[in-house]
Amino acid sequence: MQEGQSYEIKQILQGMRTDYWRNLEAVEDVGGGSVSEYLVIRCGTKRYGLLAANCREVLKLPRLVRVPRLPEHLRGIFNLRGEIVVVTDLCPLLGQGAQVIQDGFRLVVIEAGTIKTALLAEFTEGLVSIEEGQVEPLADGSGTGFRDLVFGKVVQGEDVLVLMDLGKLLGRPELIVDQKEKAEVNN
Amino acid sequence: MMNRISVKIVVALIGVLTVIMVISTYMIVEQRSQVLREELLVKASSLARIGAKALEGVLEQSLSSGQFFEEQLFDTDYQEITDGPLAGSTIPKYRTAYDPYLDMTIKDFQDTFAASDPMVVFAVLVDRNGYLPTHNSEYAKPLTGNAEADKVGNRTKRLFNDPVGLAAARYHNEDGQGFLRQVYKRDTGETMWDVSAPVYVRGKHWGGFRIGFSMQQADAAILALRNTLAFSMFLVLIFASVTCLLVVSRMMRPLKDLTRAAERISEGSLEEQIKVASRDEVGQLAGAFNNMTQVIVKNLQGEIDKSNRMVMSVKEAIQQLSTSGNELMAISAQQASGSAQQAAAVQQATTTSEEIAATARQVSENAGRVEALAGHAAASSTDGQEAVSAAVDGMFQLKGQVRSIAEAMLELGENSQKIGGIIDIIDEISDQTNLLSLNAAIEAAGAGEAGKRFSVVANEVRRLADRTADATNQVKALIVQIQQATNSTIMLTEEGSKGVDAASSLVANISEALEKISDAVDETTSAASEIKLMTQQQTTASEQMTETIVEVRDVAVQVATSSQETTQAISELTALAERLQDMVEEDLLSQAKNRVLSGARELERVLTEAVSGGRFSLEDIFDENYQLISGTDPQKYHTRYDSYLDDSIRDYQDEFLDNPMVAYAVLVDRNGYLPTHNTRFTQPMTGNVEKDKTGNRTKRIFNDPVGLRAAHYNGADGNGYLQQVYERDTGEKMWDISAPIFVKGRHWGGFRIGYQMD
Repeated sequence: MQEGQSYEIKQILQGMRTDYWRNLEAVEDVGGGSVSEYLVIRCGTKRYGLLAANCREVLKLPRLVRVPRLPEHLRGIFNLRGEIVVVTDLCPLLGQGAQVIQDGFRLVVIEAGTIKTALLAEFTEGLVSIEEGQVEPLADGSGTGFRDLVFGKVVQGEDVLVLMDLGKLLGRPELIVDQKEKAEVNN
Repeated sequence: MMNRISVKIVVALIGVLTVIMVISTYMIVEQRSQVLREELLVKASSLARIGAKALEGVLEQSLSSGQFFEEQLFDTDYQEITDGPLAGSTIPKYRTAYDPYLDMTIKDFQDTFAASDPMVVFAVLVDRNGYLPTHNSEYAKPLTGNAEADKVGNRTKRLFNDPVGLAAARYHNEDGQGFLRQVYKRDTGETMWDVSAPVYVRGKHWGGFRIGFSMQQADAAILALRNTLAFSMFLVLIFASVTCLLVVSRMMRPLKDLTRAAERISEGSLEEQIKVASRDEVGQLAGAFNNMTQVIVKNLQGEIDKSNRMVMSVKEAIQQLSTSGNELMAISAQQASGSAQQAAAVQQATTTSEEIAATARQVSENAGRVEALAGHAAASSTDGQEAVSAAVDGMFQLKGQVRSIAEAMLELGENSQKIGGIIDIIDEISDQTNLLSLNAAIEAAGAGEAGKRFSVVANEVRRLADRTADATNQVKALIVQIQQATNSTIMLTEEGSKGVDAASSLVANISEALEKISDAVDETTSAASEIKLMTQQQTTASEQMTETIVEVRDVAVQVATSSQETTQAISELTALAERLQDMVEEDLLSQAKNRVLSGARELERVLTEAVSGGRFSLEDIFDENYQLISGTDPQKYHTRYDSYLDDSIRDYQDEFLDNPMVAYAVLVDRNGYLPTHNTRFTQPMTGNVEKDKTGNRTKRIFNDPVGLRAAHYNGADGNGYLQQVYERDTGEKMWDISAPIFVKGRHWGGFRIGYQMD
């Protein structure tokens, strides 16, 4: 077992060193189409791509201050360097159940227009570069409510990455104004 | 015959006479023969001397006539005769110068001598060497050729140099007697006298003249004398003997009378008197004998009483001896059987003791083996103890090492926990680094083209952080494994520690056990050696015991032997006692017999005199019409004569009871009727039946078997008395001695004397 482990460790070390040298030798490949950077998060069972331009930073989940009588998708507020930021859970918005907060959950601070919020993510995979050609329209007939919040989807092997339109998301009235009304309407 | 004094005296006298007569006969015969011999010697010497003188004359005349020279006459050159009629003799014969002359001159002279007396056998001249020139005619017969006949018939011209011949030839009157007598036995056995006288020629000794006298005739004369004398002496002896016998027998007659009288006295006729017929010694003896008889008769009664008492004592002693002998016999038998048992027991004991000795020897050998084994065991136990103490040391070390391992494991666990903490730090760092790199990438993306290079760096950083996270995850997994491993190790070490503790306690137990074993083995060793020593002592002791037992057995055997000897001695003693008893009883019986017989005679006299004196008729005295005496139990009777007997015989009967052994002495008639009992049994009647039964027994009829037999006994068996032995109802042994009584020739009854024998 130790030998196996040591063998594994040696393999990993070798792999790391090989990657390092390959990265040094790699030629920067600049594609012809327009490429956008997306931050890939996972909420519930689905992966979502957030346009990097709208992302400000990723945080460890701080202590959230619960605000009473907020909608389900607003999980609380916290202080980010003197600025009060609302924490939003995408899942209820996208038709899934609210996430159960656990250790290792991240907050992704996004800003679009004037609106700034933090999205509750179970996991952040990192940044991926996606060409426009790769994006496919979202074919299945999920709820009309959030189809307009999505650019499309990217199929990477078996996984499906759903690209979110943060401008539209943040422009949703239920996120900002008249939350009560909107909530009632939706109901 | 030889017991008669007269014969003894006569025999002694005859013997003395015989000796005297034999001695006188011998002396007379000797004296007579001596005288005869002396006379004969005188005669012979005269003859010899006369002959010698005459022959001297003849020889001297031959010289003086010139017939021979002196040398010729003294010729000793004897020539053996080889021719002529004398040749061929088996005994050599010789010739001298003078012998033919002598044949002619002296032969007749010599023959005259020989014929002069029938006693003269030869009369010859011999020279000094024994040469006989001329023999008598009787011994100069012509040779016959028969050697034996010629030896006797022709003896002339031989050299008679035998001792007698030489002594006669060489005798020349050395003793001055003038002749020499020599006595010798001829080969025919007759006694011969050789009387010789020397012959001188012109004063020179020529030889001798020998005359041979046969003593046969003289001896015959002496024998005849002796026979005559012996015969006459024998006649005298016969006559003397007969005379003596007659005289002595006559003188002995009064003595014989005396002896017969003494015999009669000894047979009981004490009144015997001897007639004194003479005044000599025999007469005096008879007088003294009469006196002595009287004195003895006086003292005899006292002596008899004394002897009775003595006999009683002896009897008691014999009974005691007999009883003691029987007791001794029983004791000796017990002793013998006891000693036999003892011998058997001793035999068993010997066997047992030998078995004990053998067992002890075996035990000793086994103990020796046990000792040796215990020695081995002790060595093994010591080895075991050393091994165990080494094991204990090892256990302690092991325990320490296990504890160290446990401690090390605990430390390892703590350290790995610490490592876990550090890994958490690293995780946190990598997590933050991941976030940082993400944010940097986001920043770079926001920067557009300018941030492109930065995004690469950020990506790399993120990737490194991911790898770090992977690594830390692996480390975490490893730490979990380590902690599991350490935990299980710690548990194992604890178990091991417990196991070691258990093992060390086991080993300690083993050590303890080994120590106990060692102690036990030591004790076993010492016990075994003690056992060996003790069993050796036991062996010695049991051997000594065996020896002692053997001695005891010997003693027991000796005891057995001696008890056998004792038994023998006792049985001899008992036999002796019985013999003594028999002797005493015999003596007593003879006494009793005498007394009962004399008693019977006396009572017979009393009864007979009562009849002859006219007091009673014969019918009265034989009265059997017994009259009952009233009021008596047992029944008593009167007869016509009983009161007379009470007066006349009671005292006499009572005299017999002076002897303490005599219980009763009574007269009974032929039916057992007892008219008069002894005074002792005629006590006045008291009315007490039991007392009277023993105190007054008179006038009863005793027809019990013993009484009837005594009453009926009439002496038909020739003994004259009857002895009955019976036991009284009191157990005493009794003799009933009875003698029959006759009155006028009719059997009247008997006289009974009862002797207490115990």
